[in-house]
Amino acid sequence: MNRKQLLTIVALVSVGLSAGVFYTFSVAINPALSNLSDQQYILAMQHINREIQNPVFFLSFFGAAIALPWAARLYRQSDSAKYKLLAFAAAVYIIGVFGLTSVANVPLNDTLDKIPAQTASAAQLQDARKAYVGPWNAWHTVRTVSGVVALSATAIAVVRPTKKRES
Amino acid sequence: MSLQDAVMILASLLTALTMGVFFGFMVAVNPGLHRLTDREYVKAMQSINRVILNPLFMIAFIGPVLLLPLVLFWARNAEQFVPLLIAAIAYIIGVFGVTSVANVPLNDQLARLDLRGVSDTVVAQARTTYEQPWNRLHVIRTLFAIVATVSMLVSYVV
Repeated sequence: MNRKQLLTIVALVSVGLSAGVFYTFSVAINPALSNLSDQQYILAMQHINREIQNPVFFLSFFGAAIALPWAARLYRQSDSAKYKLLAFAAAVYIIGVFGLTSVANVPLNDTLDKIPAQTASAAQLQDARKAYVGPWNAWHTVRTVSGVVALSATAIAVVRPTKKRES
Repeated sequence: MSLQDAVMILASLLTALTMGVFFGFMVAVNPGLHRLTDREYVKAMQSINRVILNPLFMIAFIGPVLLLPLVLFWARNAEQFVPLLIAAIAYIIGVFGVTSVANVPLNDQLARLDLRGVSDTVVAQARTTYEQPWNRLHVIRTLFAIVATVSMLVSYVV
C-alpha cells in the first residue's frame, strides 16, 4: 500500500463516518423525534447538539474535509480519473456537507440552544420548535444527500483500478 | 466498469454508511439521549427503534450481508480473499449477528413497555435493564463495522 492509497482509504472512512451520521438523522432520528412533545423534542436536540461536539465526531467531520482534497491532489499527476472523482467528492463534501452545516445548521442549533426548555411556556416552546425543525430538517436532507454523493464518488475512486502511468 | 466492480462499489458504500449510522449513535445520539429523563429516554428510543425499520436503513444494513459473500466468492482465488473474508466475518457476525441476537431482543423488550399508565419506578427499571447493555453492545457493533469497512478497502490495494 502506498501513501496515495492509504490517504484515499482514510478519506473514505472519514466521509463514510460523517455521511453515515447524517444518514442516521435522516432515516431514524429526525422522524423519531418528531413524535416527541415540544419540550422533549427541544431537550433531545439540545443535548444531541452539545454531545456531538466531541473529538471523535470532529475527527471524521473535519478529517473528510482535509483528507479528500489531499487525496485528490496526490492523484493529480498519476491518474486523472481518480483525481476527478476525488476532487468532485471533495467539492461536494466541502460545500454540501461542511459548508452547509456551518452556515445553516449550526446557527439554527445556536438559536435553539438558548431556549430555556425547562422553564419556557408551552407557546414559547412551540414557536421555538417551529422555527427550528422545518429549516433544520430541510438543510439536513441536503447535507445527507451531499454526503452520500461524496461517499459514492470516493468509493468509485477506491475500487477503480489504478492506471499505470505511461513512461 | 465490470459487474464485479459495481458490486464492490455498492458493497463499500453500504458498509461505510452502516458504519457511519452506528457511529452517529455512538458519538451523538446515545450520549445526547442519556441526558433525558427516564420517560423521555424510553419514549425516544421506542420511537427510534420503530422508525428505523424503513427501506432506506434496511438497504444499508442488509445490503452488505448479501453483497459481501458474493464479492468473496468472486475473489476466492485472488489476493483480496483474506481481507474480504475478514470484512465479511466482521460484518455478518459482529454487526448483523450482534444486532440480531443482542440489540433487537432488547429493543423488543423495550417496545412492550406501554408508557401510558405505568409508574416512574417501572419506567426507571426498564431504562436500567435496557440502556447500559444496549450501549455496550452498540459500541461492539460499531467497532466491527469500522473493521469491516477498513478491511474491505484494504482489499483493493493489496
